[in-house]
This record gives sequence, C-alpha cells and structure tokens, in this order.
Amino acid sequence: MHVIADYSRCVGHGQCLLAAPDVFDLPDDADQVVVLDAEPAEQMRPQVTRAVGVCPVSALSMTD
Amino acid sequence: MDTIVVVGAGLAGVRAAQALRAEGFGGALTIVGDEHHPPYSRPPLSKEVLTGAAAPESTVLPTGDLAATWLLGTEAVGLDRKAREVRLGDGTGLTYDGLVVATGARARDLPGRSDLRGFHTLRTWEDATAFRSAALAARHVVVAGGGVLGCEAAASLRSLGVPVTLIDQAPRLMAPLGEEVSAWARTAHEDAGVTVELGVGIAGFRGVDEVRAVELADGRAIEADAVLVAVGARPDVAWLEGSGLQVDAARGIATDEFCLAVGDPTVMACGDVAEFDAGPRGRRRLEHWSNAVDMAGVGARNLLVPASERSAYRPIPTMWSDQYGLRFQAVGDLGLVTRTAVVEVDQERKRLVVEGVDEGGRLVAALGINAARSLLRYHSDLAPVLEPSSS
Repeated sequence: MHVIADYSRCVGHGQCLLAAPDVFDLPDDADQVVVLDAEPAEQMRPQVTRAVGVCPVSALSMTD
Repeated sequence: MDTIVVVGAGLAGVRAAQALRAEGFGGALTIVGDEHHPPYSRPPLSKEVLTGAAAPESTVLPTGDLAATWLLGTEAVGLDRKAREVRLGDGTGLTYDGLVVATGARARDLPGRSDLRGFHTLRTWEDATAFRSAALAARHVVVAGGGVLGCEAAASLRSLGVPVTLIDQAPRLMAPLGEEVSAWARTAHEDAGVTVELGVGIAGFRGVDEVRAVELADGRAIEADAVLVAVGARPDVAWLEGSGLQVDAARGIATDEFCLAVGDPTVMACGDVAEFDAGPRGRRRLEHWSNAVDMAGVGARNLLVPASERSAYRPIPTMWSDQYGLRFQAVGDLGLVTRTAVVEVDQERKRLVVEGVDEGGRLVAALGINAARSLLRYHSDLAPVLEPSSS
C-alpha cells in the first residue's frame, strides 16, 4: 500500500493524524502534514482508508 | 445482496458507496442525488467559495471508479419497503436488496420569516454563488446564527470588506465549543470588524419587497440588505414519510448501534440524516464531516455482513472550523460536556487547548485553536471512554 499526499491541496487540517497517527504527522506550526510512512503495513489499511476518506480537501490517496 | 441503492450523493452517500465496494460488494450500485452536480464538498462553501478563492467546481469530491449508475438531478420521493422500491420524482422506481439513506439535511429557515427578498442560505453551490453576489452588492449583511456556519460566513465576508452583523440569541458564538473557545471566537470577529450581537433574538424584518433591516427583540433595528439564515439544518426525511421507518422531522431517521434502520436491517443510514444509538452515550445525530465518513464506513460493512458479524458504531467525533487563520478543532463527544477547563494558552501564537469533562468528571472531549497535534494525544485518551464496547 502506498500513500500519497497532494501538497497543492493539503492545508494542514490534521484530520488524517487522528485517523492514522503512525502514518501522518503535523508538527507544531507546520502548515501541511508530513507522511511518516508512505508504505504502511497491510494491517494499517483500515486506519489509512479512514484518513484518506476523512481528509476535508481530498488531498490524500492510496494505491496498492 | 445483488442490488444496492444509495439515496443521497453528498459526502455520506459517496463514502458509503466507496465502502460498499471496498468491502467487496460486486452487485449493481445506483446512486441517486437530487442536485444536478457531481458530489462535492460543502465545507468550502462558507469559506473559499464565498471569498472567491475557489470556484464551486473545485470542490468536487473525487469518487474513484465506483462502477455505479448515477442518477443525478433525481429526487427520491417515497419508499415502499414491502416492494423494496425507492420511488423517484419522475414516477419511476428503483428496486433494491439493500438501501442506503444518505439524504443529509437542508438549511432551516427562520421561523416566521416574511416573503421579502434578500434572504439566503448556504448549503449548495447555487446558494453560495447567489449569496456571494448579494453580499458583494450589499451595504450591510446580517448573519442570523452564530454557529460554525454563521461564524465562517461572517469571517469570509469581512475578508471581502463587507460590513457584517452577526446575531444569535444564544449568549455565545459556537456555543457547543465551550466558553473559552467561544470567547476567543468573539474577540477574533470583533477585531475583524464584525458587530456581534449575542443573547438577543430576531423579532422581525423591515422592508418593501426586499429586506432593509432586521428588528431585534430588544427594539433595535439593524440595517441589512442581505440576510444569511444560518440557524441550523433539518434532516431530509420527508421522502421517508409513510415508509414505516422511524423518522422524525427534527431528529432524522433512527438507526440502531449498527447504523441500520430500527426494525429494518436492509436499510442503512449515515451522515447528517441519521440519528444513531450511541449506546451509553444516548442517541446522537452529528452534522460533522467525520461522522458522515465514519458512519458510512461502519454502516456499509454492517449492511453486507451477517448479523453476527456486525460491529457497533462508536465514533470519536472530530470537527473543525477555519476563521481568520484560526483553526478551531474539537475531538470527542461535545454533547456530554458539562464543564470545560483551559490547559494550554498562548496568546501570541494564537493557541488554545481546552478539556471538556462530563458530569462524572471524565474527560469526554478536547477542543483547541491552532493545536491539531495536541488534540491527537486526546484522541487516544478518549478511545477507551467513548468506545467501551469495541475495546
């Protein structure tokens, strides 16, 4: 599984952090998320799916 | 299950359709939406779309390849559960094995409003475009309603230089976010030049053909040539009347803890339209982005699996609002909060973290401004409190 953040859309809402804290981070004062793990393990799929779905600006996507 | 019909083509309907496919549903999927547009994201309507920073079309939700039949510009007008058929506005019907109710909510109107022109709501592309034009031409706009939508709209109008009065009969802006966050919001609005009138109701309107002023309950009149009505939303359940499902004009469609309609497990409901059984937390209807996403996911799976494999929906709700560069966020069940306390405040960096506890003193929510990362810690602290059955 591969996670992609579109930085032309991300404005740092941080909803993805709440869904998948091991995959995304939003350091203090950062404006955009940081992808901590762009190739998360398969067992993370539910959390990553939720993170992608909950992004308010559709900035995240995942591919197999 | 061979045929699933999703009624509602907003966020909840789209996420439900995506979840059905992700869960392996390979049958016929039809998505019915009353708007003529492809599914789009509504939160930007009061922000980027209203300010003009983004065109309405830029808010279209990517849906991926759902292999679905889309019936847009098509209204569902009734439900015959005996025949398992959704009745459409054009007189035809759609039969189903499984039904997803995701019709969302419509803007509430002000009770007792006259038929003067100049009133707006903010729920659709057309609403946003019409209100933006009216506001740009207005000498003074009144925003009736100091909730999240009204506050965001007021902030956007100020960035356009439009004079705004923000009115709410409640004593605080965005009252569910607690005293401290509300106070910060009020200061931000007043610093930006918004006239904030709280604790005062609207008594009536003046004008001939077009609205000219808003009359307050204390006798004053506020000039207004455009009024944004932002006094909440009502679940769109009119089409379910007579279906035998448990529906209520104010509370929406009742589901069990699995997001399935009470008394009919072939019907799933999610998003703004659905009031779910939140176990010990009572019944909840949440008009939040995260609730539409999470409920659609859990409900879609529960619609497909055998009864013994269903899982209860116990969300940790989150919400956000952007105003004047301040990002308001909350995590947890705001409906349980009886007391709030500030745990971190930084005026210079405009940061605030507030904890919300329930009657028994348990932490049930955390709220913040420009503090997304701090709220992350609370998210894991809240899980055992708010998700007791699934832990």
